[in-house]
Amino acid sequence: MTIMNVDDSMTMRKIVSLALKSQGYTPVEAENGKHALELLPTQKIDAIILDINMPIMSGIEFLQAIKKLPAYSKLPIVVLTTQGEEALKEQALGLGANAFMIKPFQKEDLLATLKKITS
Amino acid sequence: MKPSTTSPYKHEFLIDPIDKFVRIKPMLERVDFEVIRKKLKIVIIITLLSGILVAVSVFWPIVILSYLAIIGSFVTFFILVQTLRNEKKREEHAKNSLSILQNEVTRTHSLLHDIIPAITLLAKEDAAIAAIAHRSSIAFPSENAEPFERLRLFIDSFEPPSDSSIEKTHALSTISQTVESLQEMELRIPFIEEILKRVVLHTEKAALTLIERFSIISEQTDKSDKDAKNAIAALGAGNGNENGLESLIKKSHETIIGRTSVITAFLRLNRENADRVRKISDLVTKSEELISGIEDITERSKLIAFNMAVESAKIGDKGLGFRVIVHELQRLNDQTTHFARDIMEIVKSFRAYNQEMLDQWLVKSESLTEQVKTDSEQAEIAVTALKHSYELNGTLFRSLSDSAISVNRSMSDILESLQFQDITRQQIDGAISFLLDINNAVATVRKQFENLGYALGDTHAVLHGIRTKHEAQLKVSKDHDIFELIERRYK
Repeated sequence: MTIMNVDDSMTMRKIVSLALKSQGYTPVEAENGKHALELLPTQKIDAIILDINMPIMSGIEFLQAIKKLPAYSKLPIVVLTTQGEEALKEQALGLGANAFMIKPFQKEDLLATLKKITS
Repeated sequence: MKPSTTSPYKHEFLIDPIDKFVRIKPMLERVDFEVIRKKLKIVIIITLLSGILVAVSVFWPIVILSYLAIIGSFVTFFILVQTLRNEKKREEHAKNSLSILQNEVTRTHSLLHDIIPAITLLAKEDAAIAAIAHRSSIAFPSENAEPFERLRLFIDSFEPPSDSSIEKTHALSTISQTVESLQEMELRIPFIEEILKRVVLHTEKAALTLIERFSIISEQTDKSDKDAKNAIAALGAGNGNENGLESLIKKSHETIIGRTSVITAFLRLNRENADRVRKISDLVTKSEELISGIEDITERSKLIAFNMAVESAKIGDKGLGFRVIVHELQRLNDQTTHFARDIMEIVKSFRAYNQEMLDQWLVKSESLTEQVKTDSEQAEIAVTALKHSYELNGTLFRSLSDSAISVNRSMSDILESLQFQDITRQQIDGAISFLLDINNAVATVRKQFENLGYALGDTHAVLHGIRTKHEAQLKVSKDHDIFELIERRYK
C-alpha cells in the first residue's frame, strides 16, 4: 500500500516515512500541497498524511483542491499538524479529511489511524 | 523592572521601556515657543524705548546709540521671526517623526510580545540554545554599555527639555544614547539570527543523520526479529509443530531409547539363540551317539547274519530260502553301515559348520550389538546435546526477538523526541523571521529617534561613528568561539 506523506519539514517526512516502512507501507514524499497534486497522477496512492502549515500550498488549500478532483476526492487523508485548534480540526474534517492528529505523534497511533481509514 | 536572570534575551527591557516611551511621547511633542515669544517682547520693548529716546533726546551720541539700538532690534526681530519659523518647521518634523515612531514602537511592541514565548521556549528546550544562553554575553555583553539597559535607564530618567539649553543638551545626549543602543540592537540581532540559523542547520542535519541511522538499525532489527521468529518457528518451540526441531529432537530421543531397548532385547534374543544353537549341537552330538549305536547294532546284525548263514549252510537245501534272507540281511547291514557312516559324516560336518557359525555369529552379533549400543549411546549424547543446543538457541532467538522489540520501542521514543526537536526547529525558523521583523522595526525606530534628535537641534556629530565602533566590537564577538562550541556540540 502506497502512502503519500506531505510535509514541508524534511525531518518530519523522514520520521513519518520510517514509521510507514516499519509497517510495510511504501511512502511517497511531497514538500507541499502543490507538489502533492503534481505527484498524484504519477502513481497509485492509497492514502495521504497531510501537514497543514506549509509554504506554497497549505494543507487546507490542498484539501480544497483535491475535493474538486473526482479521481482523488475519495482518497483517505490523515491530517498531521502541530496546530491543535478545534476550529482548524473542524475545518479540515469538513473539507474531507478522515482523521486529525497532532504532532508529535506516536508511531502506533498513526499506523492504527491509517489502518482504520484505509480498511 | 528587574532584568530576568533566566532568559538570555532580556526581552522584558524591551517591552517596559517602549511602553514608557509611548507614554512620554506627548511631552516630546512640545516645542519651546514661549522662549521665542519672550525674546520677541524684549526686542519690541528695546525698539520702542530706542524710538522714544530718538524723539526726545537732543544729545547726538544718545540719538546715534538709539538709532543703532533700533537697527539692532529690527535685525534681532527678523532673526527671531526666522527662528520662530524654523521652530515651527521643526515642530512639524517632530510631529511627523513621532507619529511614525509611535507606529513603529507599537509594531515592535507587538512583535516582541509574539517573539517572547518562542524565545523562552527555545531558551528552555533546545540544548544548543542553552549553550548560547550560557554564552549570552557574546550577543548581549553584560558591561555597563548594555543597550537594553541603557535604553531602559534613558526612558526611566527622561524628562522633556525646558528652555534651558543644558536640559536640551542633556535630552539630545540621552536621545543619542538611545540611538546608539538601537544601533547596537540592529547589529546584534543579525548576529543572533546567524546563531539561530546555525542551530537550525545543525539540528536538522543531526536529526536527518539520526533518522538515517535509525532507519538502518530499524531495518536490521526488523530483519533480526523476523529471522529470530522464523528460527523459533523452525525450532517449533512451544507451538506443537510436529515438524519442528523440538518435536524432531523429542522423537529422536524416544527413538534412541526405543532402539536401545530393541538392542537389549536383540542381545537377549541373541543369547537365547546361542543357547538354542548349543542345544542343537548337543542334539547333533547325541545323533552321533545314536549313529554310533546304529553302527554297533549293524555290527551285531552282521554277526547274527553270519551265524544265520552258517546255520543255513548246515541245514542244506532246506536252508536255501533262509540264506536268501540272510544275504539280504547282510546287504541291508552293509547299506545301513554305509548309510550310517554317511550320516555320521554329514552330522560331523554339520556340527563343525554349526559350531563355526555359532562362534562367528556370537562374535559378530556381540560386536555388532556393542557397536549399535555405542552408536545409540553416542546418538543419545548427540541428541541430548542437540536438545540443549536447541533450548539455548530458542532462548537466544527469543532474546533476540525481545531485543528487537526493545530497540524498536526505544527508537519510537527517539522518533518522538526528534519530532519535538523538529517542532522546536520550526519555531526557531519562525523566531528568525520575527527577529528580522524586529530588526527592521528597530532600524525604523532608530531612524525616527535620529530624526527626533535632529528636530530638537542635534548637531549630528554625536550620532556619527557609533556604528563603526560597534561593528568593530561585534566583529571581535563573531570571531569568538561560540561557533566552534556549536560545531563541537553537533559533531
